[in-house]
Amino acid sequence: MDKHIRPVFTLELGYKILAGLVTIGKYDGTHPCLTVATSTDKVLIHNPHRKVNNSNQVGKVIWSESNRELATLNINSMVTALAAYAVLPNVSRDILIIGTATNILVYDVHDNRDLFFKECEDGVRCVTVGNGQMILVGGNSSVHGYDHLGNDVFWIAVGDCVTSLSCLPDQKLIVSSEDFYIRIFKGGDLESELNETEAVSNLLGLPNEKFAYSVSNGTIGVYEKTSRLWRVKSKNFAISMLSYDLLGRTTGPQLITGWSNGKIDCRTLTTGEVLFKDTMNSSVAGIVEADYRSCGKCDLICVSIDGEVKGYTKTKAAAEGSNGIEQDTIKHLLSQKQALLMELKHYENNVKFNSNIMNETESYEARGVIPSNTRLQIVVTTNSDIETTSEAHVEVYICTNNSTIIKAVILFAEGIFKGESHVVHPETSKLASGMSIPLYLPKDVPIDIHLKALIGYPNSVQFHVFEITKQLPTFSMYRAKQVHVKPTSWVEFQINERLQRLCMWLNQNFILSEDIELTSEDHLELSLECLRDKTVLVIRFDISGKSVIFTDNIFLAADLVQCLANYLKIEGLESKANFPKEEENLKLLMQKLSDIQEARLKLDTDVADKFGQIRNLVVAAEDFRINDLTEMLECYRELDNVNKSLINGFNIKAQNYSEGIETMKSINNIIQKASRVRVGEFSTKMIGHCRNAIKNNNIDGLIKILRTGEP
Amino acid sequence: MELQLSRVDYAVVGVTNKNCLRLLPASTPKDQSKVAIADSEGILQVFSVKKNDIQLHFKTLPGPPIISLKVAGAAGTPNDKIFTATGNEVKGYTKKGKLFLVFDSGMTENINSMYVLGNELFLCGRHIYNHYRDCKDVGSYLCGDTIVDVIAFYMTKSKRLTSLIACESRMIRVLEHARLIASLEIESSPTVLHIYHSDDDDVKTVLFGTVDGQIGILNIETLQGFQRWLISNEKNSSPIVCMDSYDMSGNGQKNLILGRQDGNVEIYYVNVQDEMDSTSLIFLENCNESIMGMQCGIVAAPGYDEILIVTYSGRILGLTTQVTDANFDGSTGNYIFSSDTSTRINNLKGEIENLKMKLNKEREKYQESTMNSFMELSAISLIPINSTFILDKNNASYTLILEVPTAIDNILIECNCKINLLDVEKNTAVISYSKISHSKALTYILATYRCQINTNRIELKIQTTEGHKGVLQAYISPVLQPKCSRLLQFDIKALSLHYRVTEYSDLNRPFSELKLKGSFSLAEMHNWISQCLPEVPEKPDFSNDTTLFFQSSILNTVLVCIYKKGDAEFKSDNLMTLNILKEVLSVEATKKKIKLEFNLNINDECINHVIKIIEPRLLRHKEFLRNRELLEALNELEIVEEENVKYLSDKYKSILDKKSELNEHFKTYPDYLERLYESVINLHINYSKLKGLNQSKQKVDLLKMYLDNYSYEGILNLFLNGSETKEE
Repeated sequence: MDKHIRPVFTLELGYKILAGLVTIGKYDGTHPCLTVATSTDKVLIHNPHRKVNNSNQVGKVIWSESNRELATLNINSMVTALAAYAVLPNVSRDILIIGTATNILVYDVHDNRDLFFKECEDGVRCVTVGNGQMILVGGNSSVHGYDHLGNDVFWIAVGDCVTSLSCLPDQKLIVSSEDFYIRIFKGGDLESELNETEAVSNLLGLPNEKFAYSVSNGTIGVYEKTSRLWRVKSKNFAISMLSYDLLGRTTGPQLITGWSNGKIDCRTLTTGEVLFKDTMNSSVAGIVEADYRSCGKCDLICVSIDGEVKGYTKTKAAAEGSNGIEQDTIKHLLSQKQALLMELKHYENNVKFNSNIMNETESYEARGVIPSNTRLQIVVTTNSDIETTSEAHVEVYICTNNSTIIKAVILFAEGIFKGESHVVHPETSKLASGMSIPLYLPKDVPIDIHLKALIGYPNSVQFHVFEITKQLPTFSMYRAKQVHVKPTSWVEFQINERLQRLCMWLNQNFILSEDIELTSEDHLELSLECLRDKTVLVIRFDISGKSVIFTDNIFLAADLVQCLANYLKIEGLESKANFPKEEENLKLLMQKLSDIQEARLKLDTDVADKFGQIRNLVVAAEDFRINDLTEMLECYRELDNVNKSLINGFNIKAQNYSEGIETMKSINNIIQKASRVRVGEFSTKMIGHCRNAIKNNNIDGLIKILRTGEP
Repeated sequence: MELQLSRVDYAVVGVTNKNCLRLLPASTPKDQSKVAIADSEGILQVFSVKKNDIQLHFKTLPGPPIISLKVAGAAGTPNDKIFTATGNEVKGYTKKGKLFLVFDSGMTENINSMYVLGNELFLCGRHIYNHYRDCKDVGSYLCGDTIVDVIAFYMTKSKRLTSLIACESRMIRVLEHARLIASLEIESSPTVLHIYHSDDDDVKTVLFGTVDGQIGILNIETLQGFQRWLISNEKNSSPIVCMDSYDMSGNGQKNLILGRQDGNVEIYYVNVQDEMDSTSLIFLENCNESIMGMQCGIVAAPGYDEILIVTYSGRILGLTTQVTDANFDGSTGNYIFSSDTSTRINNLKGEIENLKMKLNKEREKYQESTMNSFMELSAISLIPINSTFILDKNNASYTLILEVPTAIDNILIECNCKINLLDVEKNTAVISYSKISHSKALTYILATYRCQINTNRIELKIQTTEGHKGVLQAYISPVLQPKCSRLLQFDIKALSLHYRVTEYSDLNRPFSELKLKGSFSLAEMHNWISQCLPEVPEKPDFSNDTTLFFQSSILNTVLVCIYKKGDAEFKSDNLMTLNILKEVLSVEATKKKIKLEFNLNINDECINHVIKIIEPRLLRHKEFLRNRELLEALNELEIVEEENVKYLSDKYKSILDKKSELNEHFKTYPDYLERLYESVINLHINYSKLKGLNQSKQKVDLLKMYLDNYSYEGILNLFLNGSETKEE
């Protein structure tokens, strides 16, 4: 049921605003100022409360001459993150934090001075403040924490580019990254990991251990701890989320979402039911909350990318008993009745048809009448004959139990198709009562597939829809295969569990043509082949509790360990790992990283050199202008050359930078995976050790940590 | 809006057909009228509204679908007899529900539309028009075209009984004594006819609604034909389904009320006499479902005018002038449910509970039947789907509207020829495209739309490409149990972006000609043409040479088809059109093993002509693109400030002024430029084919280059001196 709530104020900023980069700060401690990043590399501060006439301006902020309420801050490089928080100890005023691709600027707007300006090697993707006024910066593969002086005080490795950060109470931090994971950290410890179907773009911590998230494919939803309360998907995607009590409900605030098509909607936190919606003329850039009218109440402020600003406030009257409510109730009840009547009619007609079956003259096949005991059977296998040309895959075979045919199949599943569904629609000549659907699963995660099969006859105009939901096990893309040579890399750990139970785990998490049974008294061994790259995986459990996973893929090993620990509810697990290739790789990467850093230093001095030259040349050219024109031209020519080489240098530097980022990411990735072959505190401890080793550039130490978990 | 009306929902009936809701006049004009409604389950019911709840007077037993419902009475008696048409039968009921007439029309076709005037009865099938007086056949007329609506009235001056039939191929035919006295051509396909009575004098004006959302006035008295458009389709081009005239605003002048397929109910202030007095919209409400029937009168409460509406799924609702929130309690500031409404809500809840119980039993039974091994069948009646597939001339794309009387779960779209699915703002369904498993497949596109909850109606935009013909298949699966999926098919013709016109204005066009000779019959040729082109009448005109005119919605080029037995001639200023025609016709003829003799007369002037048509659009669009770039740069300046604008050149100022216009343009015509490029390139390919020249990739690349840096001479050169592609 939609309520209409009118905006309490609207204004135009007149600038193009970058989506997601909107914040609000009380830079003087009392008056909130809307702060946005523009598409022209500026930060815009809108201060409607500004006292005129302190024109003696120094520093970075430039107040607009014509619009007294606007001030700009030139950043001269694309702004990637924006936040305003009180980070100074015992000072209530907010400090503006601006992130660009490589730097972070922490700026005191009130005093018009930098608190610190720091280069972030890992880049800046998003910024938040939490855990006791610590500035948290999400980079390309890690999260760094800084104090108000710019000291590096916190670090955690994340597998991929961080897309969003949000703080929960109790020192908890939620991090989402481009590898589709949402990770919840407590202090430096990974508490839980949630897998989504695409990169999560936004996170919002909510009270009562809930948090809202939005995914770049258009989904938004709310988690409570690690279970999802609800989610909805739309064809647009969410830009910004905020919890605000727009409707003045006793049950607490609602979730306000701003969408890429300009829609703003207000949903309940617990069910996602839409309570109110409105639209802006263009995509929403951000939603914030502040007492913008100085009336003692916080308003909801929505900003669009075209600079349109709309303010809403808590509207209680509209929520309870709106004038159309009884009509709405009737409308709703009538809809319900209509649907029931229609279904009833279907059953009645079915009975009529059956009792009158002798007199039906027209072909019933065309109308999609099928025997009532028609069933759809489903079998999931890994395809066994690798001789066929097609890639190895998981095969879903479905068939009916009579002469009916399968006209089409729609498979809904997340993360394994380009869209959210996959359709098989055989040509008319190839219609049959059975078909097999190949599936390629890109990741080792359990997947629910919802299958809708259209069953009827080739010339039917209506089909019965059979629905089947099936969960594919986590490690579907592996099949049993006898191997003679075990991979050289392995993970070894000790678990105290009956072999029968481990046997069950294997059967549940792999697709095996027949369940494996315990044949030997003292050990259980299963050898498998990965369908993606034909690599070998051997899992061996001894009665003594010694367990070894042989695989060259450290990622797979990590996934297996985590899955097993989860199944057996193991809180902490220590393990030895031996991955010579990864170690070699890590060595190379570390070497490369230090090379890159060296090169960067050199490039920097080179640039400084060139700057000197330019300065000289400009002065010289100006001098020659008066008495020697040919010399002047010469000067400018040279200036042009220097400029060109400067641009060249810049390109090299840019490349050097992106290579550095890539290397850094790979290193962090390996460390992260290596930590995941351990469970619980052992994993956390290892990360800490690794960090120290990297700081000291101790490559051998690092490798030892990878192997044993200890320095 | 000038008018304030509030929506009241009354009841639900089965899925309804067009024009199956009428009001029975009350004894005095201020009293409440009864409502007669018929649905496709064959049930006719008459009810009145008392205290917001309905009181049923009578209800017939289910039967075959009722196609039309009219209310009439013999001269001198009140118009309170109800007539329903089913199959080829007409039934008459009194207002008490007594069946007084069962009349078998003896028509060979099923009745599509009906009109009753005193003791005169007019019935139309698809092609047959029949006129009965006192149930005796007094005349019939066979029409080569599909009849969509019929009305009849006595001419004001001559007092002669005249009937009008609206025909699908843009024609309204005037009949007297079942003889055609005039054929009035109109610019768009009509959907409904309506007689607008002015109150003051006895002047009748005939209005018609069109498939593209316009209302036109016919000049009937003088038989001059189309007079003018009363309401244009700039704002809304959804088809008109029904209309009524009634004084809703209470100022003594009749308003025009429209019901559209997109669920809009619109009230207009109109003046049919005076062209200078412009039409204005005074009320608009969207009901989310196609409006199928509508009449104005007094229904719920004495003295309050109301629009009574029935939607496609059978929802009966009213838009009333009565203020419904009268139950606002001033003393406490709260809204309370009035006791009437509360009882009504409770009644409804009770009904729903009963239904649920009944349904549970049925569900169990159905489940059991799927378990046992007897030879029982699962027969689910066909899910009714209201669909339209029409060409939107303005942006040369098709609009597919699908409407189901219950919520849709998902829609699967499959097509075997080249189409693009465009994004529709209103459509909230999540689309996902499926990979086509192997390249040799006949399928070109496979996509699913997963609908959001409570979506009954969905609108898709489909861009077709000329020269590719095929079938678009849509599988619509509602949420309703037991789950079913209904398949609908839509033809995509080879020249899908052409539409029929009655004539073309510009006679100075150069023409190329394609002449065909062979041993084909007129019917065969007619059939082939209808394979290529949309809106071709079902039957050819046997009497003389058939001539059809078509216009392209993308380039405005024309195509003239003149054909008879063994001989056909096609003229067009666009060679591409002729080439596509040639290809399709030869394929069709080969299928029938008929030898065709092609004779092509290429006028090179045509190339020049088509490029000249494209040129201004191309240049204009390019300028738009350039301006958009500039606009972005201009936005960098603090142009919000008066002072800064002063320093800008006139050109930049004008760009800023046209800001919204620019943005609007890009919204309405996405990838317009590509389509223009494509049409030039296709023209070149087709031209080369016709000329028998081999075309090469370099030439196409060169052409693209000329288009990018527009050079008229370059392009023309490339066309005419196909082989010489030298550059200076």
